[in-house]
Amino acid sequence: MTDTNISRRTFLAASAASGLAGLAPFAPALAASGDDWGETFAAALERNPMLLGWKTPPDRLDAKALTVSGTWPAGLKGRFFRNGPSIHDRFGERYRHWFDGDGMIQEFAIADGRIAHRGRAIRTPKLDREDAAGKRLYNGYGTHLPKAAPVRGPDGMNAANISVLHHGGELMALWEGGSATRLDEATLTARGFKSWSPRLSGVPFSAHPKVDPDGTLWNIGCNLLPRPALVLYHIDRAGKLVKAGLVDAGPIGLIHDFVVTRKSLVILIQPFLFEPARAARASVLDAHVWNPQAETRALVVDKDDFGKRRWHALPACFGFHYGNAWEEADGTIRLDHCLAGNPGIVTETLRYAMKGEFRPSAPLRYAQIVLPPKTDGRIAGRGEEAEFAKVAPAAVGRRHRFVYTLGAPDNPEGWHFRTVVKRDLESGRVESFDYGPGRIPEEHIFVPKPGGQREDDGWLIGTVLDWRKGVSGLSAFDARAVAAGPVAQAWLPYPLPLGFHGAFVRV
Amino acid sequence: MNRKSCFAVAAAIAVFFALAAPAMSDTARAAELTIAVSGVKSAEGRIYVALHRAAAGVKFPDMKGAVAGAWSKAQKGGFSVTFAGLAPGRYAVNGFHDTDGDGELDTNLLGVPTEGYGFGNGATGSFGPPDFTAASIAVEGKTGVDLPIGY
Repeated sequence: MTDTNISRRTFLAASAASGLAGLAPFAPALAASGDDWGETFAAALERNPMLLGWKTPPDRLDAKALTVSGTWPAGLKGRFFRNGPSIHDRFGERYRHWFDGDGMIQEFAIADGRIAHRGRAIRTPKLDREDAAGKRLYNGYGTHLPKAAPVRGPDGMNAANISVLHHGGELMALWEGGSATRLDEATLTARGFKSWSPRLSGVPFSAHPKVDPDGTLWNIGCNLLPRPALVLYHIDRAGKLVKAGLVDAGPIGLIHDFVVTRKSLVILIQPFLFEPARAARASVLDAHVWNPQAETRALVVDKDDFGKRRWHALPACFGFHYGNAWEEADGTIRLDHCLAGNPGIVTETLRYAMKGEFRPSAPLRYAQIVLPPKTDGRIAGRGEEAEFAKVAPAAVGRRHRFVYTLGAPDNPEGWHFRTVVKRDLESGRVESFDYGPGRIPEEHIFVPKPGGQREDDGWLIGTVLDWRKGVSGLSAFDARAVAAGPVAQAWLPYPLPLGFHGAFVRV
Repeated sequence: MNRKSCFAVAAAIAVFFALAAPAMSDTARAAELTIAVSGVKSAEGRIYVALHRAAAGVKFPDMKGAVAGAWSKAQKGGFSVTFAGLAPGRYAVNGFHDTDGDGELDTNLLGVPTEGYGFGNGATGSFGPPDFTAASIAVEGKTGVDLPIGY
């Protein structure tokens, strides 16, 4: 009930602010009647500048020197990359889900306190083919075109728009359901799809690979069409494939993230399942069916032998991201999860944001999931609103004390985050920094301090959109004093589209 | 492509299995089909093409439905190949670029082709092949069909 109340309140406040309250009930009819999403969004943006983060930017952005306030930490040097759906309008038509915008790589090059930015739309084969045709050709995750061009495999609609990975000396933009896209580090130009081996060419490589402290990379691949399938990857620190496996997991939906312990990969299959037969007449998203009576299935796979697996049942839940996981002496696995009671955030809120319309949904909250070795699992506790959980790279797969998230405590501005949160799992203490009205923070990641000893010896680095000023910025926090706010910020002369995930590459 | 180069290519094509149809009179085998292969990316390996007839219980492009086939050394761009002595009727066409020369259309772990392939009339399927009808043409007398190879 609490979830619903908060959602309703934030929705009403947002609607009143944007003048959309009277429009909302008619939205389904408008959506069905033709392609008015672009115009509707443009009109909503005029009334409500908070929507700036969903506006399509130019294909290319450059800023030689950002305006730095505070003292940029001397040890925080390198390149911070981010990715996210960015090109939301194509040939005068607007995608119908936030997750569909074509990807754009953002690079913040940080050297001796001087920060430069480059943004480049990622030229995927999809974009090239559409540009050659002079029109949109392909379906997206949440956009279904009545006359979509056929694709040979998932990479035909690969938007390279979810996250970024730097591994084995290679920079890659990651999508959710297809291959990684290789990027030239010097020019940020797309260089085609990454093939880990001939047999893995065109096989999905998901957007949340996990890297052990020794540099070993693990990932899942989630294939939906023509048949749902789950693929597992083991890649060494040099970027060479060690092994890959195919898991018969039964019915699955799109699986966004997973976690690793020292011994295992842990994959949750939520009861929001993809039904291939629906996909001919619906978007990928709309071919998913939520069944709250069904269970969430947790799959635990041995890292050394992908054939060794065990399953646990959990209550139905929906979420995108995990923080970290560890395995206790008796084999019990504990993991962080940002979860909601249903998938409304993806079926409603993040879809209609593209129209400039706020639709409430159950918020994502911090929870810990416990998987005892031989029994069903449980969701141990639900906390405050939380999303984009991150931990220190040295803690991946180990028992961690701290997890960092974004939060949105009773945000009257509508559905977006406002705080950066540090959670101490040992003391239960939660500290946060509130960016305040007019600012929308995005994922903040942990960058270790050189020579640091404690788990939280490091910085949190992340972007924030100041929609009142119409600019985006980069913040650096001392991870040991998150509530004190950023130690330094660097502001761009332009806004960036709100995106998803980043990676820091030390010089 | 001019006639001369067409003949040169035709000479290089080897029929890899003969017409499976039973012996027929000359008039029953009076038709021919010329397949214009295009879009070949490189001169590596071979191009395989096959003709299929509709058959009960066979889902195109299962090779159980193939009645004739040929291969040629790959050439960047394309070439034409003619199948003569065909019984008039409807034939579907498929082909692939066997880049590594192992005689098979390579696929990934999930069964999706990783070498170039194509179908008659440029027909395409989404996440799979087109059906027989889309990839086929009625052959009588001298008939031509396009076979673009895509990657």
